[in-house]
Amino acid sequence: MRLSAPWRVVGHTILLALCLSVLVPLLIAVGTAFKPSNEVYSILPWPTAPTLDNFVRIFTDTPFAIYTWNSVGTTGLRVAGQLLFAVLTAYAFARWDFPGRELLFALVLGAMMIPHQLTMIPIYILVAELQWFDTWRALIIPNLAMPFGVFLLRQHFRSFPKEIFDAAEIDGAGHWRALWLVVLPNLRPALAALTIILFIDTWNEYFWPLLVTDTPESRTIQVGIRQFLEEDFDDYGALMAGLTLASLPALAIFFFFQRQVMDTFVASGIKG
Amino acid sequence: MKFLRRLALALCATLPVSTAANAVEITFYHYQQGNLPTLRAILDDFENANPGIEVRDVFKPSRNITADVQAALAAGRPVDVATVIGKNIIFFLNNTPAVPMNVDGDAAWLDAYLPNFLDLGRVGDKIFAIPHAYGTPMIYINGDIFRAAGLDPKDPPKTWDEVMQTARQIKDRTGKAGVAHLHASMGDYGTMVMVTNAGSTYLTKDGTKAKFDDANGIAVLQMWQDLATSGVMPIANDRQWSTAFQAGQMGMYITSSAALRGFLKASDGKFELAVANYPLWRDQPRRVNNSGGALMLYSPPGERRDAALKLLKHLSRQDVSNRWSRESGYMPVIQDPKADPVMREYIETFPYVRPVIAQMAETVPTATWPAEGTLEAQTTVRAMLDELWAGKRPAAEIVPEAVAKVNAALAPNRGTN
Amino acid sequence: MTAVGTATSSAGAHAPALARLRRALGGRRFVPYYYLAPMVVLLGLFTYWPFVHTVYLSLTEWNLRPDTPLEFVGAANFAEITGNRLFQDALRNTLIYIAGSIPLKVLLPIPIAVFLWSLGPGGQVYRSVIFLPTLLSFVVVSVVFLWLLNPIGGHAQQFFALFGLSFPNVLGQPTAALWTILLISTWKIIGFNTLLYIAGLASINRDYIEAMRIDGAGDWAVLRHLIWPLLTPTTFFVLIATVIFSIQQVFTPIDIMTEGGPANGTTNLFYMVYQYAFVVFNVGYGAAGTVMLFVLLLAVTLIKVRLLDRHVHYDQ
Repeated sequence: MRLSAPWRVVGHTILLALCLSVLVPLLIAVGTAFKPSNEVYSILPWPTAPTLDNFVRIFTDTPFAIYTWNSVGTTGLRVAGQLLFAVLTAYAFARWDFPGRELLFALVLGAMMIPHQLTMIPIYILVAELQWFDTWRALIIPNLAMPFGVFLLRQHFRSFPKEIFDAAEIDGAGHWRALWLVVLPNLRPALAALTIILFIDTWNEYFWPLLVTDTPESRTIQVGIRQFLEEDFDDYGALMAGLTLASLPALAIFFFFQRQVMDTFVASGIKG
Repeated sequence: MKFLRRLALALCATLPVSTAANAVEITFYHYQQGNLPTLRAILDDFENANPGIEVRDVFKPSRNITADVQAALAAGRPVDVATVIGKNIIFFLNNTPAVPMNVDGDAAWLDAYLPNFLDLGRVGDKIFAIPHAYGTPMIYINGDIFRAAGLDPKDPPKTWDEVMQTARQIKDRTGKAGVAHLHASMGDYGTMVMVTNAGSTYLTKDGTKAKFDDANGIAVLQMWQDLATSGVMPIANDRQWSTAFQAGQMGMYITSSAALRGFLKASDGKFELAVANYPLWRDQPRRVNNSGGALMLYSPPGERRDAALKLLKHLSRQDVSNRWSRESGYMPVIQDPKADPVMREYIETFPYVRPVIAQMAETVPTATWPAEGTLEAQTTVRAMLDELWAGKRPAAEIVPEAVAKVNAALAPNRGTN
Repeated sequence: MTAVGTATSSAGAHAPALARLRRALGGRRFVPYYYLAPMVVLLGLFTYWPFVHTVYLSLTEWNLRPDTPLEFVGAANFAEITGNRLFQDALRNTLIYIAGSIPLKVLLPIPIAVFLWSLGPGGQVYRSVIFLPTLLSFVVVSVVFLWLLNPIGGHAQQFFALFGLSFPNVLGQPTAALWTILLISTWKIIGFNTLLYIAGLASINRDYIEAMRIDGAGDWAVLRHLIWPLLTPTTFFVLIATVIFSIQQVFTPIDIMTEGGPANGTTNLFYMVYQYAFVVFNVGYGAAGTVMLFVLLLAVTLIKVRLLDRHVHYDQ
């Protein structure tokens, strides 16, 4: 669908302004990563004597490869689990009417309103009790349930024509096969968007991994890099370098999955 | 819980096993990142000298360490030695199973420390905390801005009146910001230092009553207001002042000695950095509160406590303690640092450390907060500063109101004891 | 769970019993519960159990020490928190953060998404750039904005000085500081919310649009009568999620840029409760604050569900 010319002019103007507001701070952040320590605070966004010192410091002062492995491993497993359980739950809610459905859905939705960061201590004691401390299990399992995802998927399920479920049933596919063969393919844009945000959320998490890990061997990138923000001495060069590096996997995930969102869009465009 | 534990044990057969079977392992919580190599080297030396003891160091950022140590104690995870931020000491004394360090006969090793540095962890005749990562506030000077304003960085201001005049001259002649005084988390530490040095009492020793609404307290806070309203101190926060000073935009910044390492790096090749003692208030002797963290002991009785005490004694040795101070930049904490030849040479060749040495004897313990009403009290202090700087009413009106509010918030702590 | 465990372990001895059990549990009417089981177990263990524990702690005075007695104080923690100035300021700011988030984070992304959607694959660059803030760590974002807005020679100030203007010290004044934080948090999330709307738009059948076009409908008519109704499920979702997360989302910028000041101008209930629990270690207050936060979010959400759900169109 093409908008008329005046709408397009307004649209491009606003978007250009927005992009500028994104690129200026981004330039400062990335520029600082390449600054020597005596330029970090200078007003110029880019370095006059560019250096890789900050990146070198990341690799020599921290076990960055281990942090990355922990981040990739725990985030990958956790997001996969979150997606799986969210899909199963949302599917059940959308597909069947069963006793207790409203109550269970209210419980799932209500869980969104419990601020996780503030109930960390009881979970921490539970994790210590389970002897999961300082392991991937502590980083993954307590966070596998994602009510936010259930809600998002249910909203999309609800706009599905009921016939999709029924047609699959008539074809002889059970509810399990129907989910994977018929329902999920139609959910691709929502699943892709959800994957992106779950990944970013997990990837950037800080307080929980900090609380339940003791050793560099089980720590994640965010915990590892924020060590450069110290009392009375903030090593912003290393911080920006580390977090710029740490953003790259998230960027890759975004580009891959946003294509899934857009592909569907293009496909339906051709169909129409 | 029992059921969960059994379930977990069934699910995960293999668990990380501790290292050597017969070694005693002690756990040391700290917040050292840049200084970790030095700390670890000291711990390694200790391990080599004491076969059979292993020290596991656990890093937690300074902002989270108190909460994380408390959580570890609550969950029954091993904590032997913990770095505790000064202002949380009273809380830790009252709410965690801290072990006094001078009850098991041998207490002579504690005499190595300056007595005023042990006051922070002293309750009656028991010592619960030893100084470890202390800082002291001092004036950092941008020598280039000083010269541009016709001032001599070799002749820095000594009193608050001189600081005011110097800042004015900087502002007028260069257009740059004159001075700022740290404010620190919740506006608390900065206010504490300023009123304590002016001869007032910020908080009583048990942390239950604020008393800085006396003449000296009000007068010095009026001066802080004047710094803001006269325009020589731009209204901002610690991160912004620190950024501005390191960018060469500000003539003087009064903050902790712990910032020195960073300021040296930032000024390298950009501007001349100088330092001076914390300014005097009128005819009052200098009294500056330490910042930073102390070490507390948590080991259960037995071989872990013996090992942890051995470690603390090792850290109190003159050579070890002075090495830690030199390489980390924290304040020396043991008696007479110049008696140590290595230390004497360091002080002579590294002028930036002189205010720190000069202020050792003038250090008083940081004020500590109780459990109840602390957040309300600290946010009140912070809001008081915001209101002072806004300049709508004089300190004589704002400060007594704030002190009354702080005391109302802290009231529950007074009744119960 | 235990029942199932015993049944399978003794399967050999009680084969008919097992078969009966299998028949009973394998019936169609149990199917939905199997799908729900993992989520319910996880939420029960790691969300609701800690929450119940928190509710319990909110009624007590305790310092987390296993060897000290826990004192039951009833509603005292709630009364004490709500009675003080900090809470009142935090509550007021919380409501402003929520109210301000609706136009900025919920409504503003809709026209942006429609515009990008209308560009088709050509909007790729825009989409990617406005999404970048979502990827960045909020710590870095907060530090950079603190530099940008520094009243002492910050970028904004120096830029304005080029034109002989002076840039106001936005973080030094309570109301301006709150809106600055709100705008930065909008900047951070707008790309993601736009993406959600685009995902919603992607499922709209283009035949309808063509049909409306043939009938002579203009841009506005298509937006008003087709796109807007079909976007309502997404809008509803974004609204609820934004309301719930908006006060947590501003945690990092508050913590790094203002610490809740000036004059309590930027603090909110989430930040206040965090401080109770993790800065001054008042377990009872922290727990009571968490419970109040839950009740507030629940109330706001229920009002929204009541008012809006019937306006949501789930069928094309």
